[in-house]
Amino acid sequence: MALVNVAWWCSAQKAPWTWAPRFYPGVWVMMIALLVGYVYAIRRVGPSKVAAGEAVVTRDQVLSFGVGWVLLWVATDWPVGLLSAGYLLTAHMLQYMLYSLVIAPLLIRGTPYWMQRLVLDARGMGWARWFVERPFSAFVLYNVVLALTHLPAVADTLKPLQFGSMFMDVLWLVTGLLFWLAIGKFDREPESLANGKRLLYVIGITLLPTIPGAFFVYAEFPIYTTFEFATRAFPEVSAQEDQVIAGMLMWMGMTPILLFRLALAFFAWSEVESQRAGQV
Amino acid sequence: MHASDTRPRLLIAGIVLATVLVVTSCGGDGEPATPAPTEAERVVAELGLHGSAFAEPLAKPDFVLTDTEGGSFDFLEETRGQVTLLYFGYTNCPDVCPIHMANIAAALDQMPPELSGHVRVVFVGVDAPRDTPERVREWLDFFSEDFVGLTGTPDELEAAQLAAFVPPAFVDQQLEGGGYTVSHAGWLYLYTSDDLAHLRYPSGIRQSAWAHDLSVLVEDGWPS
Repeated sequence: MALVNVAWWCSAQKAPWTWAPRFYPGVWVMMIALLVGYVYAIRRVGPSKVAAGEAVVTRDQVLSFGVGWVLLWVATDWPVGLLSAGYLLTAHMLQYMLYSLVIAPLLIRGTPYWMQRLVLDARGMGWARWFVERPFSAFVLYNVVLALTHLPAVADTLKPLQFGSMFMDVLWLVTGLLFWLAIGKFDREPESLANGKRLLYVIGITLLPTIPGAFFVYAEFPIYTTFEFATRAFPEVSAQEDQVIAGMLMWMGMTPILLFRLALAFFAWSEVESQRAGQV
Repeated sequence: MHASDTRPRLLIAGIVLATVLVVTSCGGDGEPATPAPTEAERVVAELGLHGSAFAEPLAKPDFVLTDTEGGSFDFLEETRGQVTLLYFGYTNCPDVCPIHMANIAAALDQMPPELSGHVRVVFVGVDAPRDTPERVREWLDFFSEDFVGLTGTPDELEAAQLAAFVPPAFVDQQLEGGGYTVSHAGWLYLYTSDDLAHLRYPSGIRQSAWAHDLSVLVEDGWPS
């Protein structure tokens, strides 16, 4: 019974904010399970899934997964996770962007194709396959989750609950993973087409959050009671200022990601064009 | 008559009986089960206010304490005829006090100056050893330089709280490292221009609610 009272996941609390480190066992269990699962799959499962002489995993993939895994831990655990759950809307926004726009694509990039198939073809994963095979549906799901989880009634209800807070975290990550997996589907199409489509979707997910961002910036009063009544982690930043910063982050924080994707698309297109020119 | 024929009739009779019982239990001897709203509650509902109404308004207390400049502050005289929020808290308070002050300051910031300029916010630091005038000023300036800060000796503070119909604060819990928490009233009184407190505001009042209530009460006053 005592375990019921243990704070195992970051959630909004009425207690004043302190910088004393906190231990959240649920986060540690998730992170260790993810790492052990990845290593086990590479060591034990991978060799039977790839052709002889083919690498089970590349160095780049391991690096991508490693960076994504570290960022996932940083975004979920104390202090970012706790600040995000109930003390600082800016941290919430940062966490959301990390989950869906940075960590999800890094984890996907770090997961070999055979491992993606292993997960997606597992029993009970039909729903995930459905979305991965339909990029537009994955895009819609991603944005519906973004909108719903940012409704004040939903966020203020879920954030004080450990299950609720975990549900939001997992939901963002999962819809992010589905989205990036779905647009990765275009890898099997001609490269020029793939990049064009992929870019459209990325522009879509970077532009749509500017709508809630505008609500944050221009709202007269704090939108979320969770953050309005939180003791200030940074006393010099009021609830209203925090909300404006979070809104600005939604506007401008997406820009570097979009520019990065645009640059990738440009270089890929340039390479294809060079190859074509070489063939002619 | 078969048993199956009687079942629906019994069911209907049961429903009718239950309905009659529910209706009569609500009505009694023709008296409503819930008391009629008081005049103050009617005003609160009509104006869409967020405070809790007193059945009988409280008179503005008459006490003199020390302000943050070290001078004496006659609360009744200095705030006469003004919309005044009175709060008894302490500057080392980890939660309720800073949130109240921050939200009121933010609400006043959002109000038109011609309205917010008519609101006095008076904070009384009830933790005499730690709430020195300098400390109270420093703490209040964090929220607004316009907030009035008062303090006094333990006896003066207790007398002021009793005059305001507030249970006197007391040291609640010793903390590791030498500090302590103080148990104090968590609500604010709002005195309207008639120098009466018709409402009190518990913790959890949103900034938008403060801005609405203060604007309405400055503009229109409490309906007489």
